[in-house]
Amino acid sequence: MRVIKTILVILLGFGSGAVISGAVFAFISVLGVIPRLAGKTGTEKSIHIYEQAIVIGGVFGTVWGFFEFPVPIPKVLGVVIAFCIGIFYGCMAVSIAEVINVIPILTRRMRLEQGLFLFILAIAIGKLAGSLAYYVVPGFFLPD
Amino acid sequence: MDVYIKPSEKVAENEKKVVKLDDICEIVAPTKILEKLKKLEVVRIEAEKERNYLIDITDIIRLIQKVAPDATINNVGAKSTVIAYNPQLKKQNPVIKVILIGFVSLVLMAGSATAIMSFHTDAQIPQIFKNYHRLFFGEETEKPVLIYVSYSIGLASGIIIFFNHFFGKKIMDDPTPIDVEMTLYDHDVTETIVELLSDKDKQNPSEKEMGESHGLK
Repeated sequence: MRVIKTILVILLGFGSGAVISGAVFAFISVLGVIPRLAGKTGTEKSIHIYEQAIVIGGVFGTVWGFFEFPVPIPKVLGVVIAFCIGIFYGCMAVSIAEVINVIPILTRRMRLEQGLFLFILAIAIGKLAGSLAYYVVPGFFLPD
Repeated sequence: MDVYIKPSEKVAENEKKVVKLDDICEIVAPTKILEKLKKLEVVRIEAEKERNYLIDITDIIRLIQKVAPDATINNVGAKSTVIAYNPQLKKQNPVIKVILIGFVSLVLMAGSATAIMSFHTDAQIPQIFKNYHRLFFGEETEKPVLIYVSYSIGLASGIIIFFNHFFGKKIMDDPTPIDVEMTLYDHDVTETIVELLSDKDKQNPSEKEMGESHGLK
């Protein structure tokens, strides 16, 4: 009985993983963060390397999230990685806003044709302020 | 006499100063005029800087009519061609390129690791797995290792199937989702450049030059 249950649990885990990864990574790739980064850096020919990076990152994130084994890295590298996570999430947040056309609709409703650059700057500054408030101001969100 | 032309949507140039008709479109025509058509000068690039030039299909028709007035011109390609002139393109340093690729890879790796973890927390996946373990084996546990491991393997195979290749080896001959996204993105960018440049053309029709690049690539 225990053997059958074990097999069932393994199947359950495997299936959940296959479906969830499809959903999460389809979401990431639909947002268009990867083509944008590749286009901006002029490295369109290397997108297969980028796919590999996502595979490795996704698997590492899952395994590490569950088992939380220690990963000894120097502090500097930690800072660099945190910076990279920030870039990725910044791209993703703006992409989500773009998919639902927040900026085009706002500018149309307000009949504004200029100042797009300022709106984007405002969004960036707002995100920066929000992120700092979240992490730095004690009791704002995280318990102090 | 029938002439068929198939202009490309976008052409990247980095050294040629004179762009000929042959560079931006495929031409099918009777042999006696084919060579003449191929050598037609579409645009002469003067400024040694990054800039996009817009060639409308009507410009091409006018050009062809000058040398072959009785030809019937059939367009089977794009309605306008963007010539992206970028003299720096050929000079891109391979070391910088490797650094850029490494940097973008790091961004994507760190980002997707965080994204999947934040999804797990959001969706309370660890709690769900603990519940599964309780349901199946009737005992509480803090770490249902069995389901963690099988889930991780499932997740890895799911991503690999989704992206359709494994360490450089393609599983099927189809393009990967990122290939598709990249093509769509390029297409959108080209379309936007065409829109912006033709708007500018309408505003100052006397201006011979076909507009600045608007900072887009």
